[in-house]
Amino acid sequence: MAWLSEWRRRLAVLFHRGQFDRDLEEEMQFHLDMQAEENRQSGIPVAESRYAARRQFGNAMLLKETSDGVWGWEPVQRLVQDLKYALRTLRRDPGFTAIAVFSLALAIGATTAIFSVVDSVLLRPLPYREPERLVTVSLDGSITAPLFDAFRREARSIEQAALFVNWSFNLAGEGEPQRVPAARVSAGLFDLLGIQPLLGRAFTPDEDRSGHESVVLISQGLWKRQFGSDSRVLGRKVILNGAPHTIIGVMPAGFQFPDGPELPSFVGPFPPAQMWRPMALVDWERTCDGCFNFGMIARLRRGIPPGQARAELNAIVKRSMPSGQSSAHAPMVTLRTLEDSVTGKVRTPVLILFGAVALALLIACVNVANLLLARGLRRRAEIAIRLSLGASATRIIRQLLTEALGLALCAAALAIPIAGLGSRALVAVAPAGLPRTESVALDARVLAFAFGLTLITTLLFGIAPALDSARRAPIDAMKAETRGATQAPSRLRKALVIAEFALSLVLLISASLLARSFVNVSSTPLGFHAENVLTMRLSLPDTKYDDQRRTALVEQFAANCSVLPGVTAAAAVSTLPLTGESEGWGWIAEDNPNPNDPKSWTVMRARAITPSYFRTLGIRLRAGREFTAADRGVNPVAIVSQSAARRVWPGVANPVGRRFKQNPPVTVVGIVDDTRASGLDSEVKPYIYVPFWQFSPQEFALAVRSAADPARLTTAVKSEIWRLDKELPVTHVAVMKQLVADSIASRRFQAEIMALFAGFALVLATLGIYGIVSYSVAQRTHEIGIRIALGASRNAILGAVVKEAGILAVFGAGLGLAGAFVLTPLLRGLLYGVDVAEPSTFVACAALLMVVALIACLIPARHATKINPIEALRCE
Amino acid sequence: MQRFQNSPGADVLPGTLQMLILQTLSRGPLHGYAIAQHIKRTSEDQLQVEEGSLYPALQRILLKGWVTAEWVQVGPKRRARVYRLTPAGRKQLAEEVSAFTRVMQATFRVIQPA
Repeated sequence: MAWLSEWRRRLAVLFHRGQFDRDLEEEMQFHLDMQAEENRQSGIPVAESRYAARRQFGNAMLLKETSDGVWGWEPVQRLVQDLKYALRTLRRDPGFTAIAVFSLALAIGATTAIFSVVDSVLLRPLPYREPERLVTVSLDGSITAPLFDAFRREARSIEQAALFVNWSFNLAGEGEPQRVPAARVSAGLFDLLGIQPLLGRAFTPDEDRSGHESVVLISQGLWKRQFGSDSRVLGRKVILNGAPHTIIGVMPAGFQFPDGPELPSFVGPFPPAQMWRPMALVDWERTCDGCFNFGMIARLRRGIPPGQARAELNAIVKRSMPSGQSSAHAPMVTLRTLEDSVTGKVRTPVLILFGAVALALLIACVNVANLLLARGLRRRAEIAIRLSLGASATRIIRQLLTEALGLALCAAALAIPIAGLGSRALVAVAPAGLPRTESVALDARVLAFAFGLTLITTLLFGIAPALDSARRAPIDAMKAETRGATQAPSRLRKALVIAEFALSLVLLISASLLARSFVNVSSTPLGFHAENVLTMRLSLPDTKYDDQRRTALVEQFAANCSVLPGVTAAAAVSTLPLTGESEGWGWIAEDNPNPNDPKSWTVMRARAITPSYFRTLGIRLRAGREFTAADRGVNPVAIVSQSAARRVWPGVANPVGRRFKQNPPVTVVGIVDDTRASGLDSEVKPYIYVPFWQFSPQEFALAVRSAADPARLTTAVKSEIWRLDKELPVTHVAVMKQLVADSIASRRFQAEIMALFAGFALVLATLGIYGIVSYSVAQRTHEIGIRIALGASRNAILGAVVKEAGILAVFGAGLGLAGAFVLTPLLRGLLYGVDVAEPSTFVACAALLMVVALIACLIPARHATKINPIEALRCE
Repeated sequence: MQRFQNSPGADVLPGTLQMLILQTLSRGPLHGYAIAQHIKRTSEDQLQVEEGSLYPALQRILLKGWVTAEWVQVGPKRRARVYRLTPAGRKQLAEEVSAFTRVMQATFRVIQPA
């Protein structure tokens, strides 16, 4: 511990510098006085006595410095001194300082903001016990209860397992009825994750049985918002979907499971659950072999690699597939680490974003290095004098690097608030589906990153100019200064401009590719007309509505709505296009000769609709007819999409009237256009539409088509709903156009951010080339003056200057094209309808860059042609 | 460092100044000037400390925590910084003295063969 108290004493000296110096001074003075007195007493004359005392004492100044040095703060003091000097010199050159600090601050701030997202979304371990052993298990995105049971019973590689599925509650009580995102989870989930409730207790196995499940856990957020963080909330009864439930616990803040991406694949973006209810499977769920309704999470036994677990589960699937299906065609188990399930989809886009911002930062560094070089040239005389006065090259380099550090620190100070705004903005505009964003913050880790980044950027932009300045022999500098000799921009400066161009081109090409993908996606034909449609969601829980009452309410609503002024059609649908997906079911034609061959079955997504749905959404009927009230009560009917018809009845021109094998058989009464309902960038999927009365979901959407702006109908439509049941919460009110835009928001976001960085890079590259050409023209005023005097035409001068810049731009573009060729394959997963090495994009971007370079150098070039030879020569 | 030319005597052996200071302080707290005087007197002017070099040495000893310093009023308008040996300083002194004695004895055995 001796070193600890030693450091305490060291710090005391550092923080009381003034006191330390005064004490030493006084002490030494005391010594000198005493010595002088004694000298006097021993007979030395008064005048001589002080002098003698000082001689006896030695070099007081040096001794003070040595005393000081004992405490080991010298390097720090020197740094502070250098920094102070650096700040003074920076203040003397406000234009340069402002540009350098500002561009660095933007770049460091943006990089830090994106790092804060990368850190909390990708880098941090999941907040569970030993998260590396957690995996999600599914067959193509979801799982059935019987398979889950088989896994749990037979799989030796699994230690614990739980089922989960998203759920929603109508929470009635004080205030407006509201819709709360929730989840049904196995009782063992919390133990599996290693998470304890903040208050109360988790579910007991007993509560996981059907009929005993009327208990809920609530999130910390809901507890705070709805119950004012009252600890007496435990044991309270709440009415959920019309039935009383008891609150038995509150989950800790930040507990977010399921987070969305690990949900069964048919569930679209789903808000984080605020309430958890026991899974409590009902009998038909427990035994249904075809109900791929659930998500499954498991904890592997310690030391079991996922590959081994996957092999074991695959074997179990083969054994336990229902009879009649050939085991050779058993689907493969998808087993992913929980981390991969949560972040897998966003990993590439987030990392590419990070890469892009890193490139932008690099360009900013190159730009500042360039500015520093130019400034170093202006300060040549100063540095030459210092070198000739005996300053060592290392001393000069240290001083220049300290100046760079000063710049970077100023930039960092400005970058922190920029990063704060940026990370909040990123979270706000980030498309839904980005997990774990609630923990994005400028915390100590992120700040440490920013600090490290600042030091690295200092070296990046500071080292080359510092070495360059210190390397020059003083004599050259002096000569150049006095004789006004011409000096071409150094090779280093040219290299930097070339680098800026190359990096900008890489960003520009990436941005164009992403933008083209976005345009391609957004111009994909939807298969329906999104204009002038108002949508909302409604939930009529089983506890309050049976199938008949639900259908009655929906039909009544459609009828009431369609007579509202401005409304042309209204309908209900289980799931609107682009707002998530329902599970697929296998269908087979009644007359199919090979029902035992899995290939004869077509997996189709089902939509329950009211008769006017196609008219409301503007989906074209290709053959047959819509549903009518007359279909009710007789044999079941369905309408299929064109691709579905083609797959089930290949080669049949008009399958209207054909039947699906079901009990009773389902007759096809119509064929409609394909829609890209599961995503504009995914392939067209076959759909089957059934009337609401055949299958009525508890949760569904309403759509209302109007003649004009649909948003203005909101109030009228809502009051129509409340006229039928005033306790129904109406949620997700949106116009269809917005839903379409939302479904491609992440592409838009990627393209916009990339374009932003590319623009930033382009501006810096332009400044860079402008700077170097202006400098070169200024340096060559004398030479150009002579040339003009000797009869060079203005065009020749212009050409010479432009050629100089052009060579740099061509080199930069060439390097950039090569770089883009290497890097754009990383974007492959994000592109749509455009190749990673699309030549037209590459050529167009390079051309744009050349044009920008040309414009940037035209200003100084024109300036060169206007040089008056008399004045240029008189300057001598 | 240059030594005080006008008086006879030898420079302090390198590395022993610290020990001399600690030894001087082991008799009681003293200020810097008094330490220098004491070393000069007790060595009968044979050991010549460049008086100022006392102070960096004192700082080093302070840093190590072997002495503490406090200001004491000496006269109407004057203060002196007085150094006091700590227990750690006493231990250090014992170690240094024994090490020094060992070296000196060994050295003597070499230069004065019996």
